[in-house]
Amino acid sequence: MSIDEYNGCAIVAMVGKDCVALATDTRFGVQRSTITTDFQRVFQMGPRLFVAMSGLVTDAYTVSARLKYRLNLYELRENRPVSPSVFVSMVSNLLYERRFGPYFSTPVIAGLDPTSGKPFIAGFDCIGDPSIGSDFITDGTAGEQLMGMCETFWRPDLNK
Amino acid sequence: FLMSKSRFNPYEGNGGTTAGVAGDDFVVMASDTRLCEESTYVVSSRNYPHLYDLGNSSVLAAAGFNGDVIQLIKLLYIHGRRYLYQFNKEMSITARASLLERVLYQHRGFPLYVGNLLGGMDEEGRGALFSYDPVGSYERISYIADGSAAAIVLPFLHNQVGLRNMADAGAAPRLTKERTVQILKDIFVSAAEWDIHCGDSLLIKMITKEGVAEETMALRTD
Repeated sequence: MSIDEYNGCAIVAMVGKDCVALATDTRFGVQRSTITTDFQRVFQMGPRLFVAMSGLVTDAYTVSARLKYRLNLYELRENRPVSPSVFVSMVSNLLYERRFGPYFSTPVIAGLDPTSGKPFIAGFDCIGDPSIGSDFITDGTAGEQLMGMCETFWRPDLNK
Repeated sequence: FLMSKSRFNPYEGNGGTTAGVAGDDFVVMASDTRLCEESTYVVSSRNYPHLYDLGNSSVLAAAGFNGDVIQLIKLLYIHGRRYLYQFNKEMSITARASLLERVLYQHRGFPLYVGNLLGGMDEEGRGALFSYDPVGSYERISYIADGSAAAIVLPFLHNQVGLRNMADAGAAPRLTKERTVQILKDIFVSAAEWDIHCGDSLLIKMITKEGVAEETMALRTD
């Protein structure tokens, strides 16, 4: 079992009409044992900006905490909420700093642009390569399975 | 980095995705027609279906290592003819299913690297579908997907054929052959989008008491 299957998870983000949706499973497990069934993998980064962290739980917590730290400093300096494209660069930079000893966790971002309200979703690999999605992003050990469902069911302008 | 010398690997993953759905009076089997080379990511053939007619309206969907697929088909053909000449009738689907388990387990020490799905009509006129692991463990099942894009196809079958995770599933009508074919066409289009080993075209075989009918559909060629 590889390190990014140690805890296991399923994450999906979708773009809809003037909205985004972000969903995760709530299992916290250690290999084949389930420890809790009400585990949160989604972290709020702003009034309309959420990040779901896949993979190893300890790294999910560490990355989200370090991200919030950098985000807080940004918002104090800039005195405005961060925009999704800048946030993507922040995430990418944080992960690439660990290029040769990476965090075993990949974020999925879902949010609305603070000024325009435009829906925004993005996914990454564990060293920070961003994929900005126009339809859906899937991640986790069940990523391929979710991909099959998203590809068949998603269409533009779904309402909430 | 430590570079280790690579041993000869007797197996290769030649791609291919297969699926089967058994209904009250039909079985639908589907596969893409792409053959790949695992090590080089090259496409060997765009017209290599993974569905094989074994006789008596039974169809085997076999994908994995193509060398072992070819050998398995030859073995099953020989067994089928021997049975026909010895008992003067074709093997029933349940007999064929049991035979396939034995043939696969006989290779337990150097397995046939093939994922098998066997479909046909049973003696009561109902659709029968069996799925196997590479060493012969098998189970009769109402729907399954196997091969490189199985992870993409199977959840969709769970939802649309198995009616899982749907709050109002009780109201759904009985599954027809036409709807099954449409379900398989839709999900294979999605599989071809996201799996590099799946594409080119889709072959569907529809088995009923009348025999085996075929249909093909184009898929992405990239």
